[in-house]
Amino acid sequence: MYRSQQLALKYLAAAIVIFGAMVVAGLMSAYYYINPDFLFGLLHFNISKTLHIDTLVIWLLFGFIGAVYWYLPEEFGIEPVGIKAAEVLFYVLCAAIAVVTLVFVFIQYGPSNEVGMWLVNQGRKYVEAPRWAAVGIVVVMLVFAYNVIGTAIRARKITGIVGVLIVDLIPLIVLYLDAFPAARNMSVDLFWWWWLVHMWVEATWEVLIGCIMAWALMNLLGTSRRIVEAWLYIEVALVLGTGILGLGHHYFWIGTPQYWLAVGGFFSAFEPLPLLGMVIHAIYDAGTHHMKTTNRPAFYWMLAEAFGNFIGAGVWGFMMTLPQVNLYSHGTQWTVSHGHFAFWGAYACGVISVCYLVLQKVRGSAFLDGITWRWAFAALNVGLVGMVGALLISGFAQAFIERAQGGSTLEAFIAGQENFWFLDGMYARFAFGLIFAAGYVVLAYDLLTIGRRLPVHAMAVAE
Amino acid sequence: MKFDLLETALLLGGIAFLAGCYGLLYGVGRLAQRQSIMLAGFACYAFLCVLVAVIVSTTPLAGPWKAIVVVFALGFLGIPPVTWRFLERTHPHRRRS
Repeated sequence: MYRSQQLALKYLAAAIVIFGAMVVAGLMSAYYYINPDFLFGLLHFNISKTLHIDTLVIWLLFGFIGAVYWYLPEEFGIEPVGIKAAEVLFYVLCAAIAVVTLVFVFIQYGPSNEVGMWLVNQGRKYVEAPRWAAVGIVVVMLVFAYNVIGTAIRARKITGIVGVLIVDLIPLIVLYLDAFPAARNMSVDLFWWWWLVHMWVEATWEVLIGCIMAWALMNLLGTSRRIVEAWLYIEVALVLGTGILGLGHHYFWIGTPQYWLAVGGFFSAFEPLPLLGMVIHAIYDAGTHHMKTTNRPAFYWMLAEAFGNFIGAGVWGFMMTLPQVNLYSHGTQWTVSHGHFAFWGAYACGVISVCYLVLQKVRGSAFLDGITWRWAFAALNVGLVGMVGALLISGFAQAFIERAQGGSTLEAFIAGQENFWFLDGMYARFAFGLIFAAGYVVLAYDLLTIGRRLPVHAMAVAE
Repeated sequence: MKFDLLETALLLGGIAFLAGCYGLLYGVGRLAQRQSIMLAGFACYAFLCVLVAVIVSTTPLAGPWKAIVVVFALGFLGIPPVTWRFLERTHPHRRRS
């Protein structure tokens, strides 16, 4: 095994641990809505929510980086360039995450000046990490880019997948520079902040996961490189074509020019079209293989990715993306519902799928299957669908009562929060969150033990 | 009857969902070579068209947005067969008998 692949294992293991931290912070955040006195005076809701969101970003990023470190040496047949620096930075990054978490939990607030920004919190959602840690993330991403680009140069070879990946890494890193707040005008600040959030989630990450899934498809189904790369180009073009200017669908209530709302609504309305193409592709692949594969959990998680992406990003997104609806739904639990479903479908399922593919190689299993992963698959997906359904109901109540009827006044906000539909949704979300958490525990157990519990031949016989 | 915010949103979500059902049933029907499944897929698409008609006639969306919904629905009609043909052309060894 290459050193890069050993590093990949560490990244993927850390991703699953941080996934667990995300689940715990998510459960706590959900409970605050039911019992606002929870941990009163000890840990505020916003810290819990910050931890939930930031760990989401970090675990997925770890998953992506781990997947690339796994497939990169297989792509070029050599050890990636600069792997020593990457190994050191992995530990530095993990230590930084631990320190930032402790600061968030125990310090929580800093002064509203440069000291607070550098040492406590930069104060912007999704990228709250203090400035020193944000600088560290930039360094890690630069070294990651050096590993990829340097390896391609040393191997004197560039494949379609790596070419797309290299082109994607540039905006991925440049856009992260938006995490450093520079504007003092809040509208201007939010305008650029959305460039980071939207372009990461609905553009650069989409391309990144596209590259990873291309490798995974070759690995799992033996699909030829020519086919995978052709589809990668098409899907990337379609996703970017609809995704980039879809940026405007975030520009509500922050003082941006009105034309952005029309531009955003127009382009994001077409985002589900390529996602339907991906669903058709998944059906074709599953059907022509008769649902048979040597790695059943990876295969099912990959299918869940295609369907989850379509429903979470496509259906949920289309429901609320036109300006006349978005005006009211924006920033409510309705958006939260869409965010949960879309992140799950577009990214989380893909990372879990890659974890199983990697484990099959690491544990030398000719055939990977079992019962445990099915329980995890069922509990996580049922929990997730239940949560987004509950959040949708709460979001409907909020959008209707607080926004459409009440006109977004403080009184209307309180009325929305006290409405029984909203509250029932919050209870249901917490209950399904518990199911999701149980699914996570089973998943973690399965990842630790699958391929070790039964000898390979016994599993094959059982099948 | 005039529809409002939530009804409009549910109709829009319904369109995308039915498009997914159409794509799913179309794909499964092609794989299984079962006309009935494909017909069920087209029935989903027909229902989708009904929802589009309801959106155009009853929701408070502005005219250009209603036009986009119509274009969007037409786009959905073509995606499954076009994608399928492209898949068969690029995977000749996997084509089912």
